[in-house]
Amino acid sequence: MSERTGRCLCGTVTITTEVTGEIQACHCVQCQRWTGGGPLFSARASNTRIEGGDKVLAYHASTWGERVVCGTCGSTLWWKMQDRPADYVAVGLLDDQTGLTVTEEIFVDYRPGWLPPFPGASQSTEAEEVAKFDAWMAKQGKSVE
Amino acid sequence: MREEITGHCLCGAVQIRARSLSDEISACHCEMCTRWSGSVQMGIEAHESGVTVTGPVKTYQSTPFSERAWCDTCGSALWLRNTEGEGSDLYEFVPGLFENAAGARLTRIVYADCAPDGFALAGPVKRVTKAEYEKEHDHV
Repeated sequence: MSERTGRCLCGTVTITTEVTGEIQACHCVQCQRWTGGGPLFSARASNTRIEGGDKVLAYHASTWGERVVCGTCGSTLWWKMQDRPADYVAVGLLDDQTGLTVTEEIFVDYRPGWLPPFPGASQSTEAEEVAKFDAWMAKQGKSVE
Repeated sequence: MREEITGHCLCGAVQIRARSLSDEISACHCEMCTRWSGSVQMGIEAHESGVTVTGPVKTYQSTPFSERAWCDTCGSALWLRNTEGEGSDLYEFVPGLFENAAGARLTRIVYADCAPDGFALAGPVKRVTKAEYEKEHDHV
C-alpha cells in the first residue's frame, strides 16, 4: 500500500488514497464509450478521502454501477458500485503514477484491434466477469437485474 | 473524405454525425490530458464543416485556446478542441463515441516521453516527445 494524492484537471475534486500498485484495464463497451478512449485504466485503491465530492456528476449505466466525472471540468474520476465506496480511481488523477502496473485486463473480448495485451496482465472475458459478478452479488444476497 | 459516420455517448443523449472523420487516432500523455481522461487521451480529427452535434454538451475551457467537452447526463468524454488559432476548425473526437473506433488506427503518440511507467501503448506508431511537440506548436 502506498498513499497517493490526486486531483481532476480543474482541481475541484481532490483525493488522498492508498493504492496497491495494481492497475485494472476494462475494455467493456460502456467503458469505451464513457472514457472515450477505452479501456478505463483504474488503480486499485482503498481508504479514499474525497474533497469536492458534492461537485461531481454521477451516472448509473446499470442498476449496480456508478460512473463519476467532475461536474466542473468533466474529468473521468472512477467507476464504483452504487452503494459502496470506490475500490478504484482513474490512474490519471494520481499526482504520482510511479510503481503502478497493469496487472489485470477484463472484458478482453471487446479489446480494440489497435491495442495489444499488456505483458503479464491476467486476461478475463465478459463471460468470466459476469460469472464472477453474479457469484459476488449472490453472496451479498442481491440479484442482477 | 469518408462517408458520414454516426456516434454517441454512453447514455445516447449526445449524438454526433461527422462527414470528415480521420482514419487515424492520436494519443496524448500530457498532464492535462492525463488528468482529464483519467489515463491517456485519444482523438480522431474531423473538420467542423461536416459535423453535427445534438444533446446536452458541457464544456470546460482548459486553456485560453482550448476546450474539453462531455455529456452532461452520463459524463462521457466527447472532444478536445482548439477554440482559437491553429486547428480551431477541427474537433478531436474521442474514439469511444464510434463503434470500433470508426475503424481508425492508433498512428501517433504525443508527449510519448511522459507516458506513465504502468502502461505503454505498443506498436510501430509515431512517437513525439514533449520537447518536439512544444517546438512545433509554439502556442502550447
